[in-house]
Amino acid sequence: VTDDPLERLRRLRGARDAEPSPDQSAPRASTPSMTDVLSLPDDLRALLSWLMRRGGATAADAAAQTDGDEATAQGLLDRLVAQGYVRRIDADGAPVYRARVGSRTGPRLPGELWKVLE
Amino acid sequence: MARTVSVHSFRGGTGKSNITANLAVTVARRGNRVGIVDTDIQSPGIHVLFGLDEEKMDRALNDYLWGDCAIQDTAYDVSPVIEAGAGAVAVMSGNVYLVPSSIRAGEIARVLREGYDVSLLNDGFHELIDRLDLDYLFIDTHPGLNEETLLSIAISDVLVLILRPDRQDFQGTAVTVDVARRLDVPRMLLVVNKALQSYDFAALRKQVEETYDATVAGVLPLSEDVAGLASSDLFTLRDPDHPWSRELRAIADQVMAQ
Repeated sequence: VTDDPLERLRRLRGARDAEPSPDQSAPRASTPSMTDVLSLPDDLRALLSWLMRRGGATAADAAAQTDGDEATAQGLLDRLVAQGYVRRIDADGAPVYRARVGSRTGPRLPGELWKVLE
Repeated sequence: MARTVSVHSFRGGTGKSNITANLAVTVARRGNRVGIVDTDIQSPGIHVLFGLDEEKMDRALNDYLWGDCAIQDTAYDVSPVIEAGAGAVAVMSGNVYLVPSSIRAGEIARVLREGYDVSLLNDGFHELIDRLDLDYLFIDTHPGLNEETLLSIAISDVLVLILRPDRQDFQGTAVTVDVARRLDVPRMLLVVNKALQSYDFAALRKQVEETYDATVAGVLPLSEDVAGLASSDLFTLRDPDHPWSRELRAIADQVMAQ
């Protein structure tokens, strides 16, 4: 326990980030899992799947893929960025968007079993 | 643009690695640069078909996933191994690069114990395609559905789903087909393997196609000749005129179709 307000804030933030976000629009601390991808709305899931296959794309590329205008594609990309599924990379020219999906696999055996094996 | 082909099955023992290796080599022999990644980190095996063993492998996919090297540093050019192994039959006009998973017990245990960051796989696949200038990347997956296999399915331009004519395989394949459709996989091909030679293959193909509303790329017979090779070589190179090899080439045609 600490009286330092900044330290308390950091602890609270750490605890909040460790919990699943109830609001899908809120940014997350960890990389989204593939199970999260499956629960996305159709339009976001379709764009994200395409982006994963392609590696990276601009908003104009995404618009061509979705048969929509660039503003609509940009809106979808912004939502994916806000939810942590996509990274925006600013370079020369138009920003490039890259998928950021796949959570860390956890230990596949309980700790007690490892102790027995050691 | 390179094409990513994931070869997957819901259950183990379907012949996934054997089919992946033979498909990859068939595609390479048509003048393509082909990569294969063994993402079955818990139970790797495809390296055996290319004559790699523990002594010959000093780097593996595991080293990339733990940040010890770039993914292209874990790729082995196995084209010379294929040519030497099958003699005059194999004339490679393309190249085959294999990224194996480690077969060292300690490294498999480390994966089970510590896990790894699955998002690195997607970055690695794209990096490998760029660095090796690949036309095709084949991904040999772990059976079933988990975080890694879902990712491999999602990034596929072509998903090859293997099943045996078996009720358990039929049920599991239905789940996988559903997931692949939710992930908007552009092309899904079913391959029925180990079909008894007494079956009516045309009727079996029709039944599977109607069940899943998906294309069956081929029906491979249960073959004592294939089993007899015991993963010591690539059957399509060893016996190119065998019915199994001819059907395998027909499947490769569909994998490569635009």
